Amino acid sequence: MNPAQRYDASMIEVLTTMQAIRRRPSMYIGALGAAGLRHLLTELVQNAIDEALDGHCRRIRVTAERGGYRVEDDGRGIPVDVIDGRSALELVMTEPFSSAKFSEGAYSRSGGLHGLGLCCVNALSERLEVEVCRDGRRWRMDFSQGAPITPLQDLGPDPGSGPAAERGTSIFFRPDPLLFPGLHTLPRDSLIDWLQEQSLLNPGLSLELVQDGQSLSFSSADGLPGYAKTLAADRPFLHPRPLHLLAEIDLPQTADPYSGGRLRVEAALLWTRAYGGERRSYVNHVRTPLGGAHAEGMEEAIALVLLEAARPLLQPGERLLPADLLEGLCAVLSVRMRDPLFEGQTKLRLTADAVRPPVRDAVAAHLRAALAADPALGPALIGKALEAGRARDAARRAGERARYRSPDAVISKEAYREQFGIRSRDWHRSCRWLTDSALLGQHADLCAVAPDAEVLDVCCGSGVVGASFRGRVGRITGLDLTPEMVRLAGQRLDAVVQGDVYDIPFPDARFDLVVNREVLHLLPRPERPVAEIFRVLKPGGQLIVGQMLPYSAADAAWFFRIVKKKQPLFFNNLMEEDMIALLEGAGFTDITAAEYLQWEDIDLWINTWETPPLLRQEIRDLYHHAPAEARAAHPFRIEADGHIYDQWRWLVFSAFKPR
Amino acid sequence: MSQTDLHGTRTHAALKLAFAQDAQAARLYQEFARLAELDGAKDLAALLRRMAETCAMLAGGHLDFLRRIGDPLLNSPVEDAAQIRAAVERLAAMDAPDLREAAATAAAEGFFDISSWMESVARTRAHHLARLPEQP
Repeated sequence: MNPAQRYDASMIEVLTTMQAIRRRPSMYIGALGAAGLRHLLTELVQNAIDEALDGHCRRIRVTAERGGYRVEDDGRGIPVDVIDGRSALELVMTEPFSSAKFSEGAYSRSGGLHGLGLCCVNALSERLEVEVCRDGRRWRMDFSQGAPITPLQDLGPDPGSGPAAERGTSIFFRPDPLLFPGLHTLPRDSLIDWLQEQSLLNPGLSLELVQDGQSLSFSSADGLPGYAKTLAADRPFLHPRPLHLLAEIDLPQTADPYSGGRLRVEAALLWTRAYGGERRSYVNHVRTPLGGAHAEGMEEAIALVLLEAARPLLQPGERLLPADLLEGLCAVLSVRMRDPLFEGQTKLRLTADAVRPPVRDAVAAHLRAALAADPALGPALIGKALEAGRARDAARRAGERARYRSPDAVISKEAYREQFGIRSRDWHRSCRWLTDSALLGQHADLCAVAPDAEVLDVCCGSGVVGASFRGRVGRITGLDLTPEMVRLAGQRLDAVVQGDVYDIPFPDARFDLVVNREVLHLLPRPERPVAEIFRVLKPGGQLIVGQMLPYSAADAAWFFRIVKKKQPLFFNNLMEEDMIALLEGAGFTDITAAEYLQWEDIDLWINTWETPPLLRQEIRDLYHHAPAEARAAHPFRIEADGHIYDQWRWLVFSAFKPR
Repeated sequence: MSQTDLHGTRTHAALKLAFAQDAQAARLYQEFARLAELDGAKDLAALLRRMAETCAMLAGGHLDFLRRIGDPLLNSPVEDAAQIRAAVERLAAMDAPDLREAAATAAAEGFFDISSWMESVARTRAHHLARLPEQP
């Protein structure tokens, strides 16, 4: 044992809770950095919304000022009367677990529950100023790093300005630069969605954001149905109006002291024709990105009722999964309750199991009634689910249909035509990489042919790769298997031919440059199309080919599983050395590669026809449970709301046919 | 009987088989639980997760006895870091030709995605091997 490592009573430290919050802030607010600052601001706005939940507050204003934020509301104002020698205001700002939200008297339901939120903001702020207007008088108290630096001051009857002028609370905080170095405010755009979300959840509540010299207001009279429509914005609706349910239920009282109380369930459900949907859930207006008991109750109800209704319509051997029934659903579920139980202070998931059955029963009853009232609704919802189920089946079969049966047989092209034909309808919106201008520029920058060079864009899709060479080359021709893509590319390229990359319909030595991107991984026996490309190039001609690849052997198998689940036509998990071998094998020389790293929006990328809901979930699971070695090799991030972004590694190869 | 007398007995074979079955069942039940959950059968999923945990524990129990001989695939002792390293290297060396052969077979039969998967697995395993710390 190292004699310097003494362990006795003198080593025991007792921290106050405020010191503990400063020592380990991530335990209380999830993270530091922008996410942590966002959490601090959310705590203050949530407190104002708690006032609105019980009808005491109509206006909330968030202002970026003096390197921090001010949050003002016209609620009842934090009490200032004295308890045990200290004002209630000082108590709630400095004493963890002091709150009016533990008992039923002041708040019937609230998002805050642990009595920690205000203390966290205070402890982690270099400066915090509270002004309260109550009973016609204004009060003020200032703090630094969680400790009072002024006594509670009675400013008299002088009204201030803003929402809290006549009544309410105004809190300014500046995050402590020791904990949030260089961080004072959040990008304005990152707050807009959140405040808009709160306005949609609280019809009649007005929210205002003042930042960067601009003032933006958010309010909505439509409530959750309006919110569901906003989520579904770009998707065609399957039924004209969202289903809207509102129920108040008495929760059973058990031996559990947190049981009982009244549960208010509100939901708006809107099915769309799109592949993906979006479901958001809230407890006392706090978003629960990982769902929990309330969201599970809603999903169970949908499965229960729609599977019942679908049973007579199923073909022999056909079955629907709950995921098929949720396909294209845009829904908002909001429950309000006393004493909700969350996983941790950051409230990502509701764990109160007692909520699941009543939410399930309420949603099921409403859905059954809606199906009975509207005879067209059931067939529309079930037809959509059957379509999703059949797409799932088709995706499973696609890989088999594309199987290259023998070295001489021609590959079945039907699966490619079907998939890319359907995807052509929203091709450019199906992922980020397709239209990433820097990635396209990376291809064009490798161009080393004469300005009058004749170019072939192989498997051209919408023609964006070929078009990115415009101005550097002469005539650009596209080649694609899918008639829909041929039409799309026709808008960008000089000519487009429908044809097959295994048998390119052009004579030998016709082109000066061939370009191709993100196709070789989809083609069994890729050496054959590469040989075809070599054939149609003139001696001295150039091939530029871009491919997204694993970083190394460490992420190769993990990334294979992700891509295969997304794309049933994925056949070759090509690595850098495979690409070089493929090009050299065809006879190319002077091979070079340029790397480009691109952040892809995974939720967008997997939201396509060929990726059934079940596999989309499996892809998300693969990111959530990525092995440490894959994580170390392959950067990706999962946002607080569950959104996944992956840093893809592209290599753009340049190779030449010998003269 | 001394502990080494277990080697080559029918009991030893039965332990190896039970280890393979329970280790496989643990992973399979975990997968079934995930699928059941996606299918909305949450109670079944919870049961399967508990079963998976129990099977993993049982596999550990078989290993408790098998360790008297060594790891159950090579029957070589794994009592210190050097032996463990050697066992991992030998296992990887045994697997690599199988995986390459499986990849070639899959390609010959027209299963190009499975062939590419086997190649990816072989690479990932080789990567593991390359990362094994040097002998002290």
